[in-house]
Amino acid sequence: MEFTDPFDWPATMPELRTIDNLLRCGICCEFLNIAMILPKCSHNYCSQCIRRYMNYKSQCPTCNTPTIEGEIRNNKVVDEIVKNFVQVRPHILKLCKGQGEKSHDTSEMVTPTSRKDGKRLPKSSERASSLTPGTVFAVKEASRFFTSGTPKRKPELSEDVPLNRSNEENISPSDDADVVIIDEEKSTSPTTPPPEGSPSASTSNENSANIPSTRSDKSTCPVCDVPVALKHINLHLDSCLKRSSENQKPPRKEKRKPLPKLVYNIMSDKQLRKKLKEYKLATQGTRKELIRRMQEFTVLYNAQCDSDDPIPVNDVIKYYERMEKIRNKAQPKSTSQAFKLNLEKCQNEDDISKSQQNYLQHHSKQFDNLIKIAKEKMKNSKKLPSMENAGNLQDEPCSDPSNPSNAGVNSISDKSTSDNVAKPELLGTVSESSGPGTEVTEEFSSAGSSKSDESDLSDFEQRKENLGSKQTSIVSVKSLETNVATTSELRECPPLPELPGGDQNETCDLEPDSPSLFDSASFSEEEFVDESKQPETSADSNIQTYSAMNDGANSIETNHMADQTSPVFTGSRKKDMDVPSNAYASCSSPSLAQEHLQPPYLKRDGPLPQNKLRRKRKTALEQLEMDLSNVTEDSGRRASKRNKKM
Amino acid sequence: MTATVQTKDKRVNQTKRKDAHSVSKRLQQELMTIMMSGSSEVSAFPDGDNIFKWIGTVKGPKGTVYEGLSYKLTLEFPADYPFSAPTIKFKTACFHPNVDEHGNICLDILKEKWSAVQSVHSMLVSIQSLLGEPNNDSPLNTLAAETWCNQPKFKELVHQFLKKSKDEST
Repeated sequence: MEFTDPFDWPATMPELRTIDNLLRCGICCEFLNIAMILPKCSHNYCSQCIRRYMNYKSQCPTCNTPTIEGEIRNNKVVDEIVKNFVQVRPHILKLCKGQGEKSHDTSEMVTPTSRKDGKRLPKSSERASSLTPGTVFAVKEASRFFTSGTPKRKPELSEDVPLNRSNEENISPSDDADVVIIDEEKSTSPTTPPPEGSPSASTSNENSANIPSTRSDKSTCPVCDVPVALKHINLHLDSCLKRSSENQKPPRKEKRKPLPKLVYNIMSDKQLRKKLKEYKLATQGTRKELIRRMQEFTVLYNAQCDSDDPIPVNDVIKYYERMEKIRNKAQPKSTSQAFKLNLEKCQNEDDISKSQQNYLQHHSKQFDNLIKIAKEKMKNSKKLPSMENAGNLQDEPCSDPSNPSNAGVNSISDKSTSDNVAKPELLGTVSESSGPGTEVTEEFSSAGSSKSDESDLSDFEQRKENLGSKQTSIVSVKSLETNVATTSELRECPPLPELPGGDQNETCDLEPDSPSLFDSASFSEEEFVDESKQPETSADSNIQTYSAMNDGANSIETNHMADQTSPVFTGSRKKDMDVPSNAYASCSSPSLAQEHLQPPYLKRDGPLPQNKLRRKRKTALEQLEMDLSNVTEDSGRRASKRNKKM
Repeated sequence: MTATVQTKDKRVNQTKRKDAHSVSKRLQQELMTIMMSGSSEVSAFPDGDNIFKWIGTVKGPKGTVYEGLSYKLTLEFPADYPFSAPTIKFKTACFHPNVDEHGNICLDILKEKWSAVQSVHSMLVSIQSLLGEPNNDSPLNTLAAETWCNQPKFKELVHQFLKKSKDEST
């Protein structure tokens, strides 16, 4: 959409700026559309704007003079001025700029308005200069009328400007829009009798042909007072009468009566609906909506009543319906974005479980997508060098599912790993001590995130080491899967612009410092922190996990918004969220991350037989997927069971 | 024939123009005006993608204790703007008789004297002038209202307040 502004005019022409400004409605900042004048203070506004404003306050918006809606009157002079000014505005603007720059294009720019006789081009600029002051003068005249508000000279003006323009446009057929105006002029003001000496084209031709030869046989036409040859008088009279009857038709068109203002407070819903039905408007919705609909429609309808050429009522209804649609569409957008879990304290459990199920259904596609990504990820990992002790991997799924401290350790370990990066000198001791927890962290990244495969490898290695050496800290696989599930769900919240996909993995391998890697890896860490605050010890805590999802979703959403704007933003946002930003730095460079995340003693390990590793990874991931789908189903069932119990 | 075509054209134009009567259109227009005006004293720009939320900046008026300072404000526009007033708050902590500790501003044209012809620019200019000419009869910050007559001390407090809030935020 094009925006025009008073500041379009060069500062050297403050008068034009003022005119532009004066012809605009103070409420909508557009050019006046069906101008209405407030008689007490003579301020002008669009009919629609001022009528709507009167629903709020019965006073002039500019000077606060008390005015009621019934008092406002049409200001047709202003309408005319606006119409002509809008038409001529681009031309004058071009002229102003052309003059300012003194460019060679001036003559060219002027031609559309000055092609009275296109024979001699060099003179056209001259003509233009002689014409433009005229147009400008017309506009100035217009503004004078506008400010002084004297309607006396209206006829002169309305004839002046259009006539002036009609001369130009008749000869420049390229300018279709302008041709329309002339005709409009005729059609909108049909009451004015045809000017003398210019009857219809055919008669004037006849006249010109006949005048020299048969001057004596002439008689004046009783209708148009034009001398016509006697032998043609009947023909002429017929056409003349026909024309005059045509001309008189439009004025008979009755002026549409404005709708009365209703007192909604004393109306029942039934009455309101009946009224709405009367105007073929929708009757559903709350009382508030009904009132608003009626109010808005009245404004639109009455605004059209002020127009000389009102839009048909059906179109008004259609227009209103479209507007309402736009409004309804805009509202939820501004309040809450897209679809996410919105839970409140006072909601009952039924609603919560329902919305959770809805959420899962809504995003099931994205969950599937994630699984696919995980698979791809797995394929990619084939290329990797392998490691020892892979045997432990198979043992993992059936390991003891009881470690209540797990979640707590998670968050601590994550933070400590991030600390490692900040303080490299502490690296060895801290990461070693945080061993039991880190395994979960690493599990996440390996399952879903696009952390580089190398660091993946180290994760696995580390985890296996832990599993092998410390049986006490074995993680409940079930809870681990829940974690993975939530992580993946979180990562797939609607506003995410792109998935941490397989192709990204490839780029990761090539350029470890790529920003995409930074982003995805970083938020995987953050989710982790977020959800690790929630207790997730067994599958029973699924519900809690899902409620935690909400928090996570929010954080990611904001996070991602920031990501889209700039990487600098991301950093600051994350700081706001009390997550050590160093954690992300650790992931920005996988090789670095590997070095820091990997306890020193692991580095000494030799490579694993590749095939063995691949197989084991595959089985582990398949297990993960299965459990993931189980968990999602479970949660729904459990929720409904709970409700029954309640 | 041409007549019908034109009237149709005209109608299309009219509906097009009326589409413009939405809130966002007006806000876009205002944004354009404020950008084009090139005023260095006040400025405003939408906060992110949401055109219903802006961040404004007001420079302390010259010759007052606020000279040389610049204050950030948040502007939130209701769905029926400009028929309802926007919510304007100080984002930067401001020591002023008519501004409370949460940044709420006590200004009649933002409340009961709001009018649809007011714009973002006129609001910000009003707030700027409010900085220099507080209404000490209806204070939100009584300490500020009391110290106003002691200008040097007031200035000191203003700077202290600003520094404190900056420290807190960092």
